[in-house]
Amino acid sequence: MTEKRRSNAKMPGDHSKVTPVNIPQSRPVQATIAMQDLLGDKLRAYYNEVVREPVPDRFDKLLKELEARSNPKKPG
Amino acid sequence: MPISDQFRDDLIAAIPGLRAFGFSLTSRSHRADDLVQETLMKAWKHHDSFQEGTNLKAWLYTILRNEFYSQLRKRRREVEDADGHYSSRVAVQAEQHGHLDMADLKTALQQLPEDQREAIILVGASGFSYEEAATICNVAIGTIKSRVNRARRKLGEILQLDSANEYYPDAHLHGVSTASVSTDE
Repeated sequence: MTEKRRSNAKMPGDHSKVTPVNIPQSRPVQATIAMQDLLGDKLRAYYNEVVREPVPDRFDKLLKELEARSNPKKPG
Repeated sequence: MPISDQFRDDLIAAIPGLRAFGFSLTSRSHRADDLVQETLMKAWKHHDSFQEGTNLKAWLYTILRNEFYSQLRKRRREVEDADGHYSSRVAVQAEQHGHLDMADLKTALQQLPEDQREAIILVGASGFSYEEAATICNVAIGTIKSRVNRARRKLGEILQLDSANEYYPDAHLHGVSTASVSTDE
């Protein structure tokens, strides 16, 4: 059994193919960049969802109040 | 010194971004709006200390951030008083806001320490440079950079963005690729 296996391993003319290997470093680097892009897109989408909301009325009221307070008697 | 129309208009223009920043920090709409209100009132009151021609947006974000931390400290003191010890409370119930994807991100953001959360939002979403973010947070640029990196790593882990990429390498482009399939009918 062992002998057979050994002889198989030593078969003449068996040039085992060299499997092409991916360039080792590029994969993780690419993955990191892709991950950062994806995260960046998500963050901006999350943030912009609030940016695009209509501004609540309270702020319009507040600014009018503040203005009225700083110019109590605007000559008109 | 009277308040110029320009200053007022710039304040109004900054409101949507301030609300988004406030929401990113607190994950609560009403708390975000309270922060914006405080920010506008303070900006109005202290408009003299703003130097015309400098970055108004960064100045306003600084005010909002300071307000956020002072409220946070107050809140934590109250919790401490009530419980006899400080308990770190992570957002337990996330308020529904947007679709599921956004809810996941919101929950993930709440798992970050405040300093990392603000850094990644300022740089990654508000569009500030590292330098501006460093000024707003009153720390060195290097500190902001390392906080952003840590936040990115952690968010990537929580959201499992790395494994998502294994299966959908072009996931972030899927909108483009489906849109490009067209027929001439």
